[in-house]
Amino acid sequence: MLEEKLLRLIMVLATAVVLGSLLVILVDVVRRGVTALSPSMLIELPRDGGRGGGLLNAIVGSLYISTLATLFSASVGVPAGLYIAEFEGKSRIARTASFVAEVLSGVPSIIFGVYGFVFFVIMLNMGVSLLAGALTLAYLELPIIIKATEETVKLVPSHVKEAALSLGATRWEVLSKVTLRQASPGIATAVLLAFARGAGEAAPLMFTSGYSNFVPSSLLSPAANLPLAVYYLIMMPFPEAHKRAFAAAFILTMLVLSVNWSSRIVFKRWGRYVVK
Amino acid sequence: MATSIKNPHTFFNFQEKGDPRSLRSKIDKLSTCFLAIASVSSIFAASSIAALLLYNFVKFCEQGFLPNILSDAWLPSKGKYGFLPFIAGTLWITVVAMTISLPLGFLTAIFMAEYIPRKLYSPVKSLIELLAGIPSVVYGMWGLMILIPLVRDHLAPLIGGSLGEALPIFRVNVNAGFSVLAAGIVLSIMVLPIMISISEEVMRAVPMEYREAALALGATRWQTVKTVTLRQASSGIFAGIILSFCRAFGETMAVLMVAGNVATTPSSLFDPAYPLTALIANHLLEMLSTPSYAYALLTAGFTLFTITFSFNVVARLTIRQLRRARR
Repeated sequence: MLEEKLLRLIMVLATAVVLGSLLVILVDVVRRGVTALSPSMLIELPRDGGRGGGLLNAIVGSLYISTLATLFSASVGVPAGLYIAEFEGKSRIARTASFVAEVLSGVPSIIFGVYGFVFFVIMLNMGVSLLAGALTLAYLELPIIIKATEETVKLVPSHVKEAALSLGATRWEVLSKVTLRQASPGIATAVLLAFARGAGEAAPLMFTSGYSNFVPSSLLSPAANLPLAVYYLIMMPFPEAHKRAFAAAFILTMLVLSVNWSSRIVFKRWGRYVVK
Repeated sequence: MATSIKNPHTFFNFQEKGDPRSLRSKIDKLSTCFLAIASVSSIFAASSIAALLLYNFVKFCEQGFLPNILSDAWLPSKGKYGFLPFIAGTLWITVVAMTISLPLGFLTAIFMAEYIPRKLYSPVKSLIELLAGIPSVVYGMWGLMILIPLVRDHLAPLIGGSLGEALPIFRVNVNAGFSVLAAGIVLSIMVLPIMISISEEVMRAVPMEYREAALALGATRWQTVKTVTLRQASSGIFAGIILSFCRAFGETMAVLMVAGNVATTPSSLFDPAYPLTALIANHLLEMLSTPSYAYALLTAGFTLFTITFSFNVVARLTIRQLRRARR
């Protein structure tokens, strides 16, 4: 019985340490962020090489890059996920794609940065730009969207599909009018999660979207983003820059966590209309 | 009197469906093609990454740099590319991170799968998912602002003073705070969510009947966990550990900010380190200067890719097999 009690105590302690470290980090980010944040941070461009002014360039840049990346990634990932879920038993392509997506999700994010820099920036001659950054980030988000789409599509009950088939619908009609609608809450969740993941990444964007102190004017101009703003500002030796890094980290964390959170709400709200 | 259907074929559209020239069947075929193209392009995306890295690795070998790859001389201007300090840095940091996170993650996972009161489960789980969502630069910033002063002012004097004499890995050679230990601690917190969620999931998937059988034989709760749950879930837990190892191995931003980035092989926990990921992040733009430098940096990328790739394949295959066995 001693073993029982002792182990239980250790487990509770371990869980407390895990949750405690999370709370310590969150509280630290929020505390620093709230003191550093002011309305001008949200609506002004940086001044004096980053020591003064706001973070508008990074906020807008982050939204542009992640939105574009999610669009690119969803336009390939959702059909690929559908294909994998529907044809896994019959097609070798589907099985390979499924496996590739799983493995791709474990590739370090810096590798995507290297690839994006060599392939998009240099070989395709896009230069350090919003477009190159978004395409690189799309690679990183791809496995998330594929796997999640595949999983939700597989959860669509076969009797619903069979009902449509028995009415004479073709495979595509079943897929687009029944399966896709049934899976839409799951797919929407996946897209939001991929957006949040993309918005938090800095390593793939360091060399692909670059950094600028202005709001990007075209697809081919460099664009700042929040994670890189945190990194560059915190590495500067000025306290004013650090303050702005805290604000950027706070905005970034809140953005990512609220998108994560809303993905759950979407799943719950829309999920009610799904036939179980 | 029931109305009779004169021609059931036209009524049910049988002919149209069977007719390969009909619009609907064309759309059906085209759409399948479209979906297949999307899948092929995602396969292409992944293989083009592998191909690019492999190509540069082969070029690197062709130029005759391969024999010196494990030396500790990193002098790109003289054409010397020894990766030892970086590989050692990555391994040190990853091992430290795993040593800290393994017991914590493992125990938390058991607690969450077996012991936790039902009311607490979902708040704890969502907190841990929250932990997974925090961007890595934010962890890096936290490490930089909190952990580095902590290591420099408290941990290094305390541990180095007491254990440093006897054990060289605790010796304080340079005390700047930027160290293997600081990077290891940050990484250990970052990998916890993956480790916990995978191990907890596989433990929960062990059928209740198995546990009940052990409990009916008079086993205590911990004995049941030890003899039934852990044994049944062992391969899944193993996969979780591998995946979190991969995460630690490939993490860039947080490590870049706290490891110190000094290109020497670390010999103690308080030495700075220069992991492979940080090497790439700091020097990628310089690769444009000489082709051989580019080959070297992409070879670093190739090493990272190959190791994480093969570990991932092992982990995924384990999970797949587990799922198949359950069915």
